[in-house]
Amino acid sequence: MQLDELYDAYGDALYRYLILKLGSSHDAEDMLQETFVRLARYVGRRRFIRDPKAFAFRCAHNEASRFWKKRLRRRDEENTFRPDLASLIFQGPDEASEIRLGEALAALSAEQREVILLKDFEGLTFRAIGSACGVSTHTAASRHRYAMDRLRSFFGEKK
Amino acid sequence: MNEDNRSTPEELKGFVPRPASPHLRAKVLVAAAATPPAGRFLTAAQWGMAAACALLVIGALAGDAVLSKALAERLDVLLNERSAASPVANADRTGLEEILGADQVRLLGTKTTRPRRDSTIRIDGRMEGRGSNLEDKEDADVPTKNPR
Repeated sequence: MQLDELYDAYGDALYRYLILKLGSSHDAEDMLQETFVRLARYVGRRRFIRDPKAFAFRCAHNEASRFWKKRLRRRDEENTFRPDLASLIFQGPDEASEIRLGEALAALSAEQREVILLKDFEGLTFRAIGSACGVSTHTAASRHRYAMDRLRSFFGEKK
Repeated sequence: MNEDNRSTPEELKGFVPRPASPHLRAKVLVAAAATPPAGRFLTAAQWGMAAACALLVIGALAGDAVLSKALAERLDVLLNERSAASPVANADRTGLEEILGADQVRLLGTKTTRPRRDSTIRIDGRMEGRGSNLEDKEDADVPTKNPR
């Protein structure tokens, strides 16, 4: 798979993921570039990669981690997601529903937001999510379950 | 692991991921294309170092084998020379070779060719030296030091 094919397959999904992780579209663009620079180095070794999609998300995850390490604001990672960022990531029926989804996601922890995006919007399996985020399959599934409970209670309260 | 989405809230189902802007694609691909791809499993320099290490190991093993063989041959020659110089030991060696075989005797060479202390026969017909019991029994009764 060449670089442009790689971008067409995963570029948009990685961009959304990085916005969610970094809380800024500008930082996400920079880190997307870094992610593809890194992926470009592995193009020749693709036969060693079992799941390219999970690998691409793992690279993005690592770039986001490096970004926070450089900024030395790791504790702020939890609070980077603002409800208005949801409109950059998701396309809903109207703006109000996008904001409401953003509020719901902001109520989750960073790990839970990540799993919701990867599972329900990008279509990764729990195994691939575990591989991308560096956690076990069971941890990914459990994070998804807790996130769903919180989202359900959030939307229930709103009704 | 249950992978179905039956528990997904209805509110999430109306959303689809938003595509990124097209100019981002060009920007990212230009930056990524300038990156040289990593080599294969090992780089050429790493392959060279691995080959040099392998050659060193093979050379060391071959040298060890050659030196061991030369040393064994030299030792054999030395043992044969020593056994030829001692008629008694040579006689023992010949006897042992009949019983054990030449290979075993060569392995035991240091014992069979060890120079023995010559035995002498005294005037009274007793034997002294190695193999005699004179020192063990009779000489035990004779005081070796003058009593005061």
